[in-house]
Amino acid sequence: MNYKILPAVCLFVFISNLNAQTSPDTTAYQYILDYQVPTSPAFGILGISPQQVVRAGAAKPFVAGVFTDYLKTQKLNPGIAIDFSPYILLGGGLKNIKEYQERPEKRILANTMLSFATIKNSIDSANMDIGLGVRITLFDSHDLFSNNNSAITNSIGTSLANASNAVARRNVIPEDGIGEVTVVPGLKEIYEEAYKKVRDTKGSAASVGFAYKTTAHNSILTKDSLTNNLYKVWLSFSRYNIFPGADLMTIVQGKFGDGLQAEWNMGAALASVNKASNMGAEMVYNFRTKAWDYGANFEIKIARKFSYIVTLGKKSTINGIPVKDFFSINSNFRINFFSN
Amino acid sequence: MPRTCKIDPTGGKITIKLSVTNALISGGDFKIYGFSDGIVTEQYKLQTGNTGTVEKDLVQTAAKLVDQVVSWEVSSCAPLVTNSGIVTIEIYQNGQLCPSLPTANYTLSNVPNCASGTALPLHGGLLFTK
Repeated sequence: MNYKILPAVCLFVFISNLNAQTSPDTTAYQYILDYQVPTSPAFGILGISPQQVVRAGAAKPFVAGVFTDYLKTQKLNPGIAIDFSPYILLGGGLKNIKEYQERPEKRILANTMLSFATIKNSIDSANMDIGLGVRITLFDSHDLFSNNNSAITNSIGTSLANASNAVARRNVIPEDGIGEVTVVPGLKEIYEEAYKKVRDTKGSAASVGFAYKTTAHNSILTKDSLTNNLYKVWLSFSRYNIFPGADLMTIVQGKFGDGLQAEWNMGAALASVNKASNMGAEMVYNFRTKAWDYGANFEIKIARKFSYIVTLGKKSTINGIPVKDFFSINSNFRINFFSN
Repeated sequence: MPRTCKIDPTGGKITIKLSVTNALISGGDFKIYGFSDGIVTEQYKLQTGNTGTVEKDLVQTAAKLVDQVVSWEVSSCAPLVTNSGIVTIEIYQNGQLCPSLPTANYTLSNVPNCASGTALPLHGGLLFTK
């Protein structure tokens, strides 16, 4: 395979996709929270995805990803990644939507993601690479509920009220009961309209993150068995709708580790999110090696809750060590328990 | 056991309050009807908005409301990352809570996200007594 033409092919497909936007997904977390496992901090530090420019934006409560680098190794060797909002999962709550709007610290807590990922070491499969990460979303102007606008809340409430029908029967005092989840006419349309409106507006989001990677020898988790420690910190800024259908993401990232020189990178990416597919293309500049890396990722929804992701890119370092330029291709099977 | 709410027929206005916690959104239908004839005398569509609470004063006097039933169906969904909460329906007379026995608290879990186009309904009611 001629890898030299891959970036051009990726760029062509990406640009073609920009003009073929479909209506946005109607599932919950596609609207509020635009978060993908390949941009998981834990995934990123393990080098599973060549995607280095991560999206700034609000978080999902729980996302689980299963990864296999089958295309590279012809072995299944599955890895897993779990991303979750600890504030919500540990019982942190919100009084009401007004509190979410008026108290940025609560909003930040609700949108803070912790992530955990493991995969077998690519050199010695007896060893396990482990990644831990945290991503804190500082603000996201496309979060439908974070501004002081009450229109969408009122529309949702009215739609719920109109769909309700209390019984009125003589000689009967209705007893308590909680029913089954039911479809509310017009509710989806309210979201679609709000989401389309916000998608067409410019806006921005920012997040900061930290990730840690280590290798557990013989897959044993003791202090002495953990080596090859690597740390990453980053600041990410996204600009929505930089041109129709595409978001611009930028990142400044520092890498530090055992026996490695400190390294700073700066990157930019264009991303397009659609109903059935997501695409991104990115470029990253390494200030230490003075080299450019680039890559692309494609996510295709193959079934309800399931999607398949292919990432590819040109790299010039491995774990911070400069090497001859090479291309990598990875595949990632993603399961999102919170989408339809 | 059917729920009752004892009101003072000579007292002041009666208010229905719907509230929901944990940043959920609730909206519901409230009907007031005669227990013996089932004829609806008042009906309201209420929704909790950004504050999670809404109140509505009933038009009829307390004396007329005695032996009438308030019936409700309330649907809730989650607009944010939370998916649980408590829906409460309370009755006030002149701003004083009228104890409803048993209290009308509904603990909800696995509330669907509003963007899915679905909601979790609940229902109940009470009889005004003197």
